[in-house]
Amino acid sequence: MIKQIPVLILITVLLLLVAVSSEASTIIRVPEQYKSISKAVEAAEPGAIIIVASGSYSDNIKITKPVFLRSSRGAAKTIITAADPDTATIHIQGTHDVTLLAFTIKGSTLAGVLIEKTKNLKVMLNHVTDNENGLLMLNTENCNIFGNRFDSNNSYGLYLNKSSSCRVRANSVSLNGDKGLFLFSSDNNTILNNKINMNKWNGMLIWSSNNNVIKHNRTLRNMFGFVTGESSNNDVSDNTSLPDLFLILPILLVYLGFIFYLIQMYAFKMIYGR
Amino acid sequence: MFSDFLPLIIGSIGVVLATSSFISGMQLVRTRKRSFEGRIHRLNGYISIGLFILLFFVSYIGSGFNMIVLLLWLSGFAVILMKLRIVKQRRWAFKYVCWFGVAIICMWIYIIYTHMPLT
Repeated sequence: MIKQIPVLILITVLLLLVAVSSEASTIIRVPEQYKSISKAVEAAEPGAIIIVASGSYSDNIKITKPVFLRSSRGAAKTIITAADPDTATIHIQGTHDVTLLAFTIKGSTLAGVLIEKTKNLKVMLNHVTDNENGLLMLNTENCNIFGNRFDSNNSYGLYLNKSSSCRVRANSVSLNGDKGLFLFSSDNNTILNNKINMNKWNGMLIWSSNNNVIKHNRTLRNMFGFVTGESSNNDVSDNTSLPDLFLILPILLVYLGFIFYLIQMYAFKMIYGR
Repeated sequence: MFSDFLPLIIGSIGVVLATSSFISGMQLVRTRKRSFEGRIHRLNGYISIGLFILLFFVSYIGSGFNMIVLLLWLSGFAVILMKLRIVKQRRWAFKYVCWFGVAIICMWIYIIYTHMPLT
């Protein structure tokens, strides 16, 4: 029995730790507990998880504490439109460890998502559309922008200003009124596997930005695909401005047309005889 | 997802038919005798015109009114009508119809290029 006491103490301590950690990440549900997302964010303790049910919300959300904000049914079914169009629909400022997951964000004449002076940020699987700018990021460090769609915004799709150590991966940045992806004075970022197509001006503009890794991106049918200036030590490789499909498909179809003609000839000969 | 690719699929069928129609048309002009080529040419030609009109409805009406795009569609249709008119005039057919056939194939390739789903 005496030998088992340390084991029992260890188990008790572990259970206490689990209890404390589950207490730390309280779950808040919108609209069951709070009618609006902004009210839920205001009431949340740091580290809280806010789960938003599907539906359309008219709101401006300001996040100044570490929270995990996610939708329950995905971006297509959870739409946040700016209640006051003159401010950002979602404004994350002066905080750390924020996650924004799976929303449609629209209707701001400033930005769909505005991020300032924030560290350890995750923005994933969102659809940011019909704003002046999609995502504006200022003085931000160590962020992960993954699997989002930034399209049909009036100016920039995705704008990083003085932001560093961010990973921008597998996003679709298309049909924006000015530039698709704009890096300005931003160093040590990784831009990987993004589709940046059909933006009115530059697909991707890298300006005064150094030591970035820019690989496996596709820029297609922009005014200028990839533009860089006043930048150094960037690892730019394996980016595509014209995908193979554009060259191969028409040629393949013309060949198919020729084969189809031969097939038709044989078929008509078989039906009608010589 | 399928609706994103529908215009591209219709356009691809259009290119195949326009190419087949062009080759049979060239054979028809070269041999000057009525044979299977005439039937293939007409069949493919009229189906591709039908596809052109279908694509106009699917693509243009789906994406909303735009005067420049409407003018482009109408000019494409004008090329098809002019080609039909020239074919009926045997005197002009041998001289100009090959150019119109090439123009129609180029037009279909352009349609594919503009309808590739990229987002």
